[in-house]
Amino acid sequence: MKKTSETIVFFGSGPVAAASLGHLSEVFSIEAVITKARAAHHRVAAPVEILASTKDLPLLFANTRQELDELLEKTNLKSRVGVIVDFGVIVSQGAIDHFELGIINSHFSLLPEWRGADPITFAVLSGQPKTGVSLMLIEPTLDTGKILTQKSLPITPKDTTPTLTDKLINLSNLLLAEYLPQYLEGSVKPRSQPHPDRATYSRKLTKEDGTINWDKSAAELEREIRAYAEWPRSRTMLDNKEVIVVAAHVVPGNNDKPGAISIDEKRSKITVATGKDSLQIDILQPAGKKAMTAQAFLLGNLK
Amino acid sequence: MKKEDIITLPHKSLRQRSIRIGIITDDILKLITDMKSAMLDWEAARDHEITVGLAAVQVNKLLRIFIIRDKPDHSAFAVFINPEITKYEGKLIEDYEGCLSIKDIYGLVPRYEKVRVRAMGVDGKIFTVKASGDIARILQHETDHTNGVVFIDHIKDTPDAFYQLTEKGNLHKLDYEKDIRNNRILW
Repeated sequence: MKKTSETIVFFGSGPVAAASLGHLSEVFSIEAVITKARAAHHRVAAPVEILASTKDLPLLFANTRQELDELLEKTNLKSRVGVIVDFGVIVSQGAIDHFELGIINSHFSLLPEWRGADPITFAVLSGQPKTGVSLMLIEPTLDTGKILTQKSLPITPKDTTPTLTDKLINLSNLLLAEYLPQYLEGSVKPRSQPHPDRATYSRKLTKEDGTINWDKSAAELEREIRAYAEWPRSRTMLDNKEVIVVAAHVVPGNNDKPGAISIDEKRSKITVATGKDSLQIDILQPAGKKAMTAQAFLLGNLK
Repeated sequence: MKKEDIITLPHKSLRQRSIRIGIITDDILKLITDMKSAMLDWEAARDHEITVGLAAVQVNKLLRIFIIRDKPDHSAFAVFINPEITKYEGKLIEDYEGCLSIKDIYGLVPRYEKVRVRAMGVDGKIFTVKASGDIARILQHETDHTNGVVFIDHIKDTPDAFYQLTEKGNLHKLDYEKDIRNNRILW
């Protein structure tokens, strides 16, 4: 016996989208890939574009909700379901209704926790012991849709936003490969998000988020350093030079006011007092230079 | 085997009963491997279709054997030798199905929701499976093949049940009077 193959439409723009599309295109037939057109000043094609062209997948562009509506109106796609990962365009109810079985979003948190644009960074920032992936049927309101499945994974004390992102992409790929066929078959019942009153929200970061405020506790700052590892990074002034703190750890107690720097006698450790306890800087990167250990930095600075 | 080894209507073998297998010889095992490769080869040449099952009669061997692909991503094959449907359960459900041995035509075929099938595996042991949904449909379709029945035989008097696959991968209803009723290839 043969069947007409079930196809899906993929919506995605960023690097996480590319990683997901790479896997999905191995498991499903992709009818079309819809992505944001690259900005005029970006000369290199985005990862999703590159992937779509190497795998010969039909590529369509939409930059706004209206453009997406118009695109779906005129393309007449036949897929029963859409999958959306890291797309960056809000989708209207009209667009969702183009798909008999709706549009599934892989959201990188245990919803209703960390709805919004940047769930991974906020999970690291919060210091919570676990996060996860939720497959959700999207609604026009932000991350409020019904859930097909959720799976959690631990956040280790060493995890940074990039390391955690990699793990979550893997988990998301596994969940999509397992649950999407079941959903298409009709054997998964979407259920409402548990405890919507306990929802928490993430937001887009700004460059200012990366400026270290030494009045915060050392534990909080250490988490910021891991959470902001890719962008905006955690910056401060040392010896009148701007440096990025790459890795640090908390040492109990502080014997000075927040922001005060102390250096040990052997000149191998830089410790900064904070609002609670102190932060010892292990690796840092001066502006325009490579990352180095505190000891190496001290050879030429803070004399 | 290649996709060219798969026979299509009006080939007479497709309406003949296949014979039971006594012992599983190396020739039988070779045939099963050949059937898998024919199926994959056929699928590789199609943009909008996937293969989910193939009976030995479709490669013109009148033996009671079929193979199905039973994982959601269709990565694994299961082999049924001397299959028998021992129980039909649930309602009759209509859904689209097509056949590698019937070019271009799809049909809305009523099948039982659930079945139990007893068969022999490649190890010679008898097993029983209970299946529902898509797999139940595939098992009914393939067991029919071992009895010389093809899916259009179930819907031959249902004018609204015949469809054609378009180049874009959509199904369009066929004109029963014009395309089906007196089609010498099909009947």
